[in-house]
Amino acid sequence: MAIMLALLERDKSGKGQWVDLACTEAGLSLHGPALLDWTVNNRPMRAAGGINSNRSQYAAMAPHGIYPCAGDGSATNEGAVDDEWIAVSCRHDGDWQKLSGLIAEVPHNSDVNWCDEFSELQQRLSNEDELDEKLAEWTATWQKLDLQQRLRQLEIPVAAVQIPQERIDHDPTTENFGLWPTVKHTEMGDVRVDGLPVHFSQTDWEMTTGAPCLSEHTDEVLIDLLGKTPDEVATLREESVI
Amino acid sequence: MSALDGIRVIEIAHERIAFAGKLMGDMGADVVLVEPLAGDPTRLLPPFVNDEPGENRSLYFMHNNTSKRSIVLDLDSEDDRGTFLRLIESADVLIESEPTTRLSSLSLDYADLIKRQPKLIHAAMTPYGRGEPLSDLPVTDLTLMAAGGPPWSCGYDDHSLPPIRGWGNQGYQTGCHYLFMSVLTALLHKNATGVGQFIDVSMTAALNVTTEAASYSWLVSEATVQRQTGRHASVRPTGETQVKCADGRYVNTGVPPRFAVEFKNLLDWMTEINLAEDFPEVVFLEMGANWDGPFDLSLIGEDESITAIFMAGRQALVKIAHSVIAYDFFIGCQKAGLSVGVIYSPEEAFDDDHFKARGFAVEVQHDDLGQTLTYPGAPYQLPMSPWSISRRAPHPGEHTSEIIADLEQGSSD
Repeated sequence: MAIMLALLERDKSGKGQWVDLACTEAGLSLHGPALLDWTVNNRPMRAAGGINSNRSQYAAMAPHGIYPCAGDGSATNEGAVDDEWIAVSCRHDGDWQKLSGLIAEVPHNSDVNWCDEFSELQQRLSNEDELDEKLAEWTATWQKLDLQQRLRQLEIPVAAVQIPQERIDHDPTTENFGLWPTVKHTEMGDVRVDGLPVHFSQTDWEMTTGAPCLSEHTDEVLIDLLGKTPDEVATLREESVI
Repeated sequence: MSALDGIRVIEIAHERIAFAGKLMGDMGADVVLVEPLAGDPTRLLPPFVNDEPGENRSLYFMHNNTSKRSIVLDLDSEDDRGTFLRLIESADVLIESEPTTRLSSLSLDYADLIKRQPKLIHAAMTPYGRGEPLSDLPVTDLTLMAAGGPPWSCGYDDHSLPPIRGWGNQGYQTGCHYLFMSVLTALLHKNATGVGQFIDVSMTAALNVTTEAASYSWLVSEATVQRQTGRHASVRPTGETQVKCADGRYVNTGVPPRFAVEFKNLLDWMTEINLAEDFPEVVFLEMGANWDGPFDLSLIGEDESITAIFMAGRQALVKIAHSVIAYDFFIGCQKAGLSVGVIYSPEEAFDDDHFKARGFAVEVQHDDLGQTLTYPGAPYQLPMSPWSISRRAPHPGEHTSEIIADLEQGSSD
């Protein structure tokens, strides 16, 4: 961003400039509302009784979290955690009513009316730990993709927490976007890489070659860019300069 | 005067793209925020100034809408669409995050707009891309993040705890960064050729390509990274890096010592604060300090001496951290040439001397509140094209008459 801004400035003024980017400042500038809450209201971000960051920080929404789902029974790690998860956000009472309707339709135990005590937003916000616990017991009976499909049909914000394989090999949206182009790497041959998450109607991107191997283009740079002759390059190599 | 001075950006208000408009406005663009009759809904989001709600008191809105002007237009009304089209004629860039077919249904999509402004750059940011029907289903920052990949890599060693989404609508911000970079690219192209274009930004694709090793471990070797407490997700577990200091604050020990001079500095520091004498592994630090030539890092775990030296380096850092307060640990490691960080909350970083010395905080006058508020400052410093908050976030429609008068003036010229 900063380099392109400097290039635009150069288009206007004909002058280059020094660009000073501190990673910590770039990062901190992403926390505007939290910083203003500190400078204006004197409220620190990590106050006692604060929420975990899967909950909604701004709009009042509950439930709003990442909940466990059923695995295929193959978990062998410590504690046999399936590590399958789904993110669900209920933006308003309407979303919650639809979700609680589905919970009533597909109950997971005899406690079929537990949603009733959470019908008002304020009840859900004030008892969010209990709400999350109950909802997690219910989501844990679902495969994440099945639940994602049902909640999409109900137009409730939902997304399975996708593992890399799912995002890359089984998500039609990334494939349709052309997000994983195959490039030629000098030593590895054909390999898929990250593409760009944008498409331009006039100047779209294209990736054909992978990252360079160490010194792969030394001769090309010295001869084509810097005007050295092949003999001069050979001498530099003999003298171990390159 | 700054890099985007003279560039007019029209932003159709939507919480997902507000931050992109701010990035442009703070670099000098004239950003006109087009709000609906009821105002942008994010005006009602907390936190509020002094915790008192009000459409001009939301700190969330105030941060994301600095350096913009506001016009209220009802795009469902033909008259207001006429005004919108006149605005487009005067503009260089349109940014929006509308449902995929809304603008075409109003005859306001790219194909319509370039009849009025052939050089327009129109950037549309949607959850999955403009051509994807899923983009029209409701999403939140949390669900975008889950679909796009970052939460899989974030959380704790204990996998019975859920994956974690970073604080503060980072999904929106990641999309906005790509939108901003794409618009800058298109502006450079327009400068060179006089030609505008349409840009399709996918928010989940943007998140996918920011997961680094998570993606390429799968792409290259079909391996799956696992989340870890306070460090990068990794295919193979890596050593813990978070250590609690004497004041109860945590530090991240980052990259442990790897060069002889770093072992020497660490040894000197331990000696200076009287920790060396009850550190049995001090002999390995001495070996590291006197090592001749570079270490072969690939031998850690195989070569006994190298393994012992590197273990001692890590243990020495932990021992020092337990004995001093976090800030002193950070400063001591800086002096020793070791890369570590105090784990700060945003407000703690804001008040750190390093940020103060660089003048990161900026004051913004709020004539409406009769107060001056302190905001986070420049994400980058370009001396010839300074970043600045040129004005506080606007009230709804605060500049409607001014902007319309301006358009009338322009058409009569």
